[in-house]
Amino acid sequence: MKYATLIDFGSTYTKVACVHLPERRVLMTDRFPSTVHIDARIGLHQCFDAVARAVGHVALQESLKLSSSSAAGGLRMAVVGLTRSLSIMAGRNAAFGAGAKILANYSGWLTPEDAVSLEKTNVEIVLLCGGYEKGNRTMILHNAEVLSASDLQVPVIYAGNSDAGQMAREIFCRGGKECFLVDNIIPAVGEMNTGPAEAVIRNIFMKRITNMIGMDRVREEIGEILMPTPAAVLAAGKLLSEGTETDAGLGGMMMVDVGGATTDVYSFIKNKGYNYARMVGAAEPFAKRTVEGDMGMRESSVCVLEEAGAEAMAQRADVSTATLRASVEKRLLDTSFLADTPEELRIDQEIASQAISISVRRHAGRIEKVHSKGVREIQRGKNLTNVETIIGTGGILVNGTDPDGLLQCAVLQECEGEEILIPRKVRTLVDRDYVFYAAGLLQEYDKAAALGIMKASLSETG
Amino acid sequence: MELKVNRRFNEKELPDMKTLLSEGEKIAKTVTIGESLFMKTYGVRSEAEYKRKMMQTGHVMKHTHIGWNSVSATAEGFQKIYEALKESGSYVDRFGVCLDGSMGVPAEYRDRIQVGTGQVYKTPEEWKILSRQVPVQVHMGDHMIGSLNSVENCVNALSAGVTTIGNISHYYSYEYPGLDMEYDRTIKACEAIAVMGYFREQGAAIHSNLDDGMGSQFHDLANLAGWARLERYIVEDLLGGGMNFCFGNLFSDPILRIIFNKAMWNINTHQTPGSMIYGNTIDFGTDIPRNYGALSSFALADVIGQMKYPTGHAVCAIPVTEAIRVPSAEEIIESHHTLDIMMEKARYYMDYIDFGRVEAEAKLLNVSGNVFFERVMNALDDLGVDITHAGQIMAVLKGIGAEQLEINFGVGRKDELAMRGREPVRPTNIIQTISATGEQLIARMPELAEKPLEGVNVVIGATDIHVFGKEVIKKILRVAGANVYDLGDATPVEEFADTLIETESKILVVSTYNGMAYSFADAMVKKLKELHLDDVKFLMGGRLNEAMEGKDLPEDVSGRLAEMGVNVDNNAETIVETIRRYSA
Repeated sequence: MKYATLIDFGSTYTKVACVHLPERRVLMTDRFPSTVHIDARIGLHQCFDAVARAVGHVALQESLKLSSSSAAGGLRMAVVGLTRSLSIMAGRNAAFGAGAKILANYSGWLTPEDAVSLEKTNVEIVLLCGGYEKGNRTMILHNAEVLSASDLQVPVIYAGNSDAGQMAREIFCRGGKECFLVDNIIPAVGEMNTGPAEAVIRNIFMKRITNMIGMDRVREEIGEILMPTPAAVLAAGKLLSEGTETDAGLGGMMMVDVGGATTDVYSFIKNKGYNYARMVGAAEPFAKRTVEGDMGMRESSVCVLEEAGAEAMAQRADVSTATLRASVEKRLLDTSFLADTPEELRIDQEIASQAISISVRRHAGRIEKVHSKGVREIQRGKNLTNVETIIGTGGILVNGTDPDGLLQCAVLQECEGEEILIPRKVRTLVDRDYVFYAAGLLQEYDKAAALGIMKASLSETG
Repeated sequence: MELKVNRRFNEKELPDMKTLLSEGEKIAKTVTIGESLFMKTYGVRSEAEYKRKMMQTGHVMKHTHIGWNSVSATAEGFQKIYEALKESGSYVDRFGVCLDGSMGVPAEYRDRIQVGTGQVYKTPEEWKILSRQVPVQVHMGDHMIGSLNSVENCVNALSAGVTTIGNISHYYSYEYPGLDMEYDRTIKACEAIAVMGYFREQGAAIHSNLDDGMGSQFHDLANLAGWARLERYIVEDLLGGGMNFCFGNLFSDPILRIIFNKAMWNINTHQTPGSMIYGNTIDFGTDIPRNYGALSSFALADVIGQMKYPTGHAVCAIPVTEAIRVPSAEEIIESHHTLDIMMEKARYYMDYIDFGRVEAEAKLLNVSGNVFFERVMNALDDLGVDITHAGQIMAVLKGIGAEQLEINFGVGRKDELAMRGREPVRPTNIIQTISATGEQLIARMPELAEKPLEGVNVVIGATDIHVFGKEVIKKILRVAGANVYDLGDATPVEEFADTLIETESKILVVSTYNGMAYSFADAMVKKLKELHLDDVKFLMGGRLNEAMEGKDLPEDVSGRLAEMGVNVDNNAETIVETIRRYSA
């Protein structure tokens, strides 16, 4: 096969990239305002027409066609577990790895009040986890009872101690809830098995996409949508970091994507104890994704303001606090607002730098001092200090004036202590042509081409 | 062959050998070896000079290791032991003292290292105190050469009149958590060895305890003999130091001790006298009469070995309480008296031991060790390591580790079913003993076959790096049918607590060794309360001691633990019944 046509049904744009496989290069990319709310097929045909103009109808017809989707802003999930450091941590990694957003976590004994607050979050899936194999039954079954008795009407994925799985399913069935049983995500001490849970999350996600208008016809033309866009980007990043047998990867790296509502952070590095610190908590995956639902340029800009402090932000953006507040208000009312004056550009830059700074620090692990004799330092979470490359993708990072300045916010600052396990020194790159989703789709078929197009799309900043 | 080298820094960036050696020489020229009371009494310029004389006269030297943490308590203990032994017609030639882990790093980093139970000296004067007390020579092993503070500690020790200094093997096996300065550490270790080399003729001797370093991780003694050649090549051929090997902690076969020491002497180019042969501590337990037997068995062999092949090694008197607590002065004195009777009787064995076989076995270890040595050196060369550069070799060997060396370059016949893929030429005792200890206990408990702990969940872990006791208990509990969740070594209380929740275990078993039993139990009990894990039964075993309220000597804290509600039976033979009762 000579060409691949790679399509992403996003909530803002339908995007397409056409790749020449033997030459491992992108022939064309394009994007069109999303039509998923009217008829997904319209966007698809716009993409097809664009590809046909570049390579001809026959080549388009014969090309490999793959697609991803992030429509409706990704899947909203809640994680219910037993302890923050073990089952919740593993559950979050599974949900994020599958491409979801997490709106709520609950640990320990779930109360009816918790269930009520969970109903209000508007989540679409609950991931119920906890207990090593042959471990806890009582608490996870209690949590199943509470969820089952609630008014929540969303599927529950049970990824806990398999001994209690059948019983949990019965409880959910009695409560009229849909329940999927998957392998335990923490089967034994120090082990992690998030693959099966991730597969079910994706499966539910795909089913939902299938219900979008025009999707049945889209499927006839290009087959099933393969994966959620964030999962494709995660797979692409992993390939770019590890490389292939003949083409070296970039090694330890991170990716940051600042959107209107959320900021996604990806890291690709094997977790190691910082300075040989004792690691505690759930095992950390090589490829890790987190999404901060309160960090973004538009819908979430007010949360950034609250967390980083309006006065400090105003000072750095060189505007008055009142101006900053008014400007953020504008972004909330009009999420498609485009910064059009030097002042607004500075405010955008400041919001982005705070969103990156906070999101990366939440993604990273930390060293904590403990007071019990013997163990002096323990590490929770992932050690990113050896990351040497950060790649910016999307919006302000690709189109903005100072991507390097923004990405350097991910690096340890002089005023910070070394207990924060973020990168110490990095080179910064941007994904100029927005090809990561395409590479993620393609990597299952042609790793060399997928790696080739990513490398070609990367530009040094500044 | 696929070698994974866990490099901590790029070894090519080390200063060249000429620089390291001249830096060592420069430092050495500022140092004068001090005169200890021992040296003054015997009219020698170093311990090695004394040892050489004793080797000729047939005097077998005796060693005692001291583990108290304050200088004044140690000094008092020295006096007490020396006087009591003298009075009873006995003697001791040398005292081994252990520096604290925090002394292994330069002063500016010391606040980042946990202060443990070893000696801390803040001034050159403090370094000298112990060698001025009694005419018994001081030996310093832990956290000296091989640590981050190699040069400073080595210079201070020499100036204090300590001339046998260790412990090269720690370079490969000790870490300073939170302080990854491997590049500097390698440079300092090389320079300190060069300083010792400058004084080699005067008798400065570098000690390496094979059983305390990477040597202890080999399964095959042939490879261990080859490893010893590697260490010797680095220290003597490349850096000019005089070196001798210590071993013994892990050698429980008495005759093997004689054989191995002979093999080590065969490769000792400069005939540098040995420091000591350490006692076989793996046979020591809580059963005191058995410990007397263990002490007698290794001591007798070591005395016979020194009578036949004088290598300068002192014989160790290990108190029978060593596995239970930090021994008192009285217990140390007692151990010397046990040793004395062994010395008295050793000569009767001399004519009846087949030393021809001993020498043949030693030769076998040397010859097969040479094969290992050559293979490793060739591999280093292939890896691009400069095999004339001591620091490069040290760093890369450490990065490869004993297991990979043994798998890839081991001498034994290839056998897919064998551990590490080879049948050992001669297996080490530790490999046999660890599994045997568990097996013996299990054999004495036929009731385990009925799986009394079927379905019982147990969380287990150790508070420090010592996991031997934990491994034995884990094995027993598994045979008894329990589901054991093992959190490994140096486990913090938070992780125990979270794992208790995830496993719904009502049983927590914690093994401890390092003199922190009280602090740990206190923190753990508070954590259990905080999380409402009131129904969890908490059992602690190992060495239940800690230095309380500013005291020097760790004391037994099992009474205090029991008051907190901790089970302190500390008994492997009853633990299954105890847990069964708790779980009923």
